[in-house]
Amino acid sequence: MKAKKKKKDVLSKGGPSMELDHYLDDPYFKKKLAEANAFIARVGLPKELEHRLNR
Amino acid sequence: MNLEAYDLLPGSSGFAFEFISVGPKGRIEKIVTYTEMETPGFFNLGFGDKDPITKRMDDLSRSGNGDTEKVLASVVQTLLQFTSLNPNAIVHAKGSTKARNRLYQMGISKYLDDVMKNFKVYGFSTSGWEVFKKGIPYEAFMAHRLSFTTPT
Repeated sequence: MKAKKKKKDVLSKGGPSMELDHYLDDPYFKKKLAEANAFIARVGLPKELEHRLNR
Repeated sequence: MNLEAYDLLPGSSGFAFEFISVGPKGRIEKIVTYTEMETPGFFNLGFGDKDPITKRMDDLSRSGNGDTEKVLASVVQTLLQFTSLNPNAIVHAKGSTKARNRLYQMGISKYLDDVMKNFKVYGFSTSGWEVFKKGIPYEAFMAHRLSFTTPT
């Protein structure tokens, strides 16, 4: 009996996907970004990186 | 770093990536994004599952597809790709749950020696930010390439 062809577990190769960039505006990631900004506003940055705030 | 990871599909901007987790629960599409924060040069790492029907991100997904290490390795690969294109980026990651933070922690700890060859990693705990150490339950993480330079 012929073995069933295994479904590929990789994405189709090719160039970068423009469609994927839409996820940068997905409400889920917007919410995560807002939470991250609020977290950093509350706790600050590692001392070694604080100078980046003054750029 | 030679970890078994899924093939990545990058977005054309270089700020979003997709890979497919394969396991007992089937094929689960995972999205990783890097979004610039209010502090310029800092990027938030976002990670989650795509709803197979709506194609929107699923906030409540707990995929548990038995491939945690491979998924973590794939996220690390996105970090390598993103920071190779943006070598001065500082990446912030904070799990949406304690469990997800533990997962990040395990991943960083397990490959710490390799990670430290390329990155400086910080963890945030009740004592504040510090250089990442094994065995401390961190609430958030930051990482940047060792080759990172400060613009003058």
